[in-house]
Amino acid sequence: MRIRISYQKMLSLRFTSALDMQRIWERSIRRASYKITYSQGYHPQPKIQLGLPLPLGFISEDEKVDVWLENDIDKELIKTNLELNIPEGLEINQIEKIDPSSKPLVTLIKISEYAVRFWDDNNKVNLNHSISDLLQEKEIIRIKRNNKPYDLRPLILDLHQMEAKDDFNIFMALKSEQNQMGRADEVMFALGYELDAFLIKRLLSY
Amino acid sequence: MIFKTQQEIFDLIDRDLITIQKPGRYIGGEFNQVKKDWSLTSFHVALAFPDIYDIGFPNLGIAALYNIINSRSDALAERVFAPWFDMESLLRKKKVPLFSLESKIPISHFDLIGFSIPYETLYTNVLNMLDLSKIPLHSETRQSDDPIIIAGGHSTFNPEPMHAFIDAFVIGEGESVINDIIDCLISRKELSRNEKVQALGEIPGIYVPDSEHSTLYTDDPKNSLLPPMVTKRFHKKIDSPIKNLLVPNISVVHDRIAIEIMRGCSRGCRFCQAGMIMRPVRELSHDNIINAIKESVEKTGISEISLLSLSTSDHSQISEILHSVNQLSDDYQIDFSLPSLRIETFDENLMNSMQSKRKGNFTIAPEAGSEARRSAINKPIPFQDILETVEQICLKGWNNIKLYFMIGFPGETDADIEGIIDLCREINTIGKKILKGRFKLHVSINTLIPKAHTPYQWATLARKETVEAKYQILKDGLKPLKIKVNYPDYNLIQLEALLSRGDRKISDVIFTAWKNGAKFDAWREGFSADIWQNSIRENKISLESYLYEKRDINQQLPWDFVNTGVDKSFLKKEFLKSREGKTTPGCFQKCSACGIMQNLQIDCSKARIGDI
Repeated sequence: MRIRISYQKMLSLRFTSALDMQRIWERSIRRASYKITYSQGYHPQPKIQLGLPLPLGFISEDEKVDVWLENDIDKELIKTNLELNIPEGLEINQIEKIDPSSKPLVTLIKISEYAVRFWDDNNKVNLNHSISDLLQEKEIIRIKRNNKPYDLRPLILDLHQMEAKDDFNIFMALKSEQNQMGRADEVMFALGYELDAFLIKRLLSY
Repeated sequence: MIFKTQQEIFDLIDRDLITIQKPGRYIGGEFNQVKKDWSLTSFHVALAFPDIYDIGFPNLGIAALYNIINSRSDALAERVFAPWFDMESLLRKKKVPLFSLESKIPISHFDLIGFSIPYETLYTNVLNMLDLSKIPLHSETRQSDDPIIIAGGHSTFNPEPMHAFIDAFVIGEGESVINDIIDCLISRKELSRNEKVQALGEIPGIYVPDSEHSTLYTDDPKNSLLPPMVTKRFHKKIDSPIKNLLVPNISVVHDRIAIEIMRGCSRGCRFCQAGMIMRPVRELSHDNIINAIKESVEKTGISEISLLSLSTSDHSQISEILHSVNQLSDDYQIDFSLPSLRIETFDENLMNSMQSKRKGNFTIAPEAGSEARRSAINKPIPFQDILETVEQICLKGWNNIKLYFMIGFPGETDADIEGIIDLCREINTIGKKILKGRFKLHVSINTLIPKAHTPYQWATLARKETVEAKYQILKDGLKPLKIKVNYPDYNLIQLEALLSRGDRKISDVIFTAWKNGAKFDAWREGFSADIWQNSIRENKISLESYLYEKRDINQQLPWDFVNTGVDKSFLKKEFLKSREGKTTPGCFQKCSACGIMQNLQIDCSKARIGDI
């Protein structure tokens, strides 16, 4: 059976990479004593498919992972057992049973929404102004990790200052398709902030 | 928050960690981590490993102490590792002290800091961690509120090079003595720091350096200044193995369950320090091993298991163990690996029981290139046997073979070096014939470091010109094979030899080197030959006399006051037999009276199977 786990990733797992999350889920499920289905072939691997990767340092309210299990088990029972076996920093929102042949998670997602908070209140000064300046730009050229320049502007669907909730006071919606992936930290850099100035939380992907 | 300085630590974690490499190294939070209430616990121990988290996390010594201390109601243990270069810069720039993974408490607030130092190239990192904790480096300059600094691990079997920085050394197996240390310090809570340290010195197996004794190399055979004898502490019986039940949140080396199935080794290879200092052999029984595997898998969810020991195939129940592990692996969806197999005991039966497993690397350590030299070092494996084993393992489907060799043995000739080339060539031919292009051979060439407490402690280190000439013969000879060969930097070999064979004076060399920037000496990113050479010069140390001059076999050595249980006279006999190319049988073939039985009051054949 294939299940989809929706979960929150919080501060204490902020520095665990997307790749490491694969292993964390595998081990959590094994601790809960469920048998994971293995892929066929010369090097069988446990069948676990992560959704949209969450960049290192981000936290999230809405992450998803698909897991194939050998046996058919009640999803609420899985949730109860799994909650006892996940590390600090994970919280399960819900578990659903899904059609084993449905499409991989990453192909389902088009848009992600983020909230950002500053560590230091001084950074909020002139925020509105710099956001509207940025949005007026025709193009925002940023450099990818592979040194290729790209235009960030069309990837920003929404960006505005919002009423602070737990100190998070910037909202943004970015394109999140496989070849058109807007990174929330890049938006913050374009606004002129350094990496040590803010914390990004993913709110939702759809 | 318990201490005011913690606010800076929390800010650093929130804001700055994201700017450095692998920030997950510094925040703990692993599944099964033990985090006790600081204020409700009276005694606080920081377990320190002087290398990065990735390397130190799997360390079983730390895991054992962590479990023992945290199972006490009156004490807690938290972990700390050496920060990598980027984290060190960040800590220094922000003036934040080194802190523990669990409660994020500055190390200087702990009562006791226990360093685990398995090898000598970690010494400068110990100094660096003390400095980052704002603890005075020299024991004599520490104040009443500074923590007590202890150290243990294989390197401390010659404690003197670090004598200036460590208040008390643990000689032997830390699990056997840690409770005595904590009891001693708790019951003397009101005494002065110095009185506490002196009290530690009364515990068997603890060495507290003082200024009345010294361990300088001397020609006086009755060196009267040598400290009183300290006999190592050890577990007579290993009931249940050390389990590291913590599950890392980031990638680490050896990210698998490690079960130590046997401690000590019965072989007596003459270059091997572990084989001498870890006597007697103590096996964990089949039932205990299987229970430990089950418990570890259930509690960690980790699916890779490694059965550890110095010579795994020598375990008296190895067939039964592998049989049971094979059965378990289907039920539990686990994979297992067996490092350190001996050709003599790795037979077809064992190979078959590993048949279904994923085939990774297979390591063979002939050590020397000729049969004569292998006899001299007491690892007498016939040429033909090595080739037959290689053929068998290739037929069973292992693609990657690693070969370990050493050069620089006493009496070594060019023929021995040619022998290494011949062996590699033959093995490569066999592998290629069976596995074609899939076969890969890696060769590692180390140089003998004449370690303390081994029969070769009287041998000299091979000189740079000699080693480089031998490297050249090997490079020329191995070139046509197009295989990967490792040739370690001679400067690093020389440093390791100096630190492991050092006396009291070497503390100054370590200090000067650290002051001039030495750290992470075991890392390419860290080691600087220039810094060390300058420090050696500045402190007027003659490498000639420490490493290259022939030693009289009756001369006192700086570690002679450390009693490993093996008699010095046995080591002497072994050294002389090595010259004659004579072998000594393994302990369970025939006891050669190394002294362990009398000195440690133990019956080896009973200790082996835990019948004590």
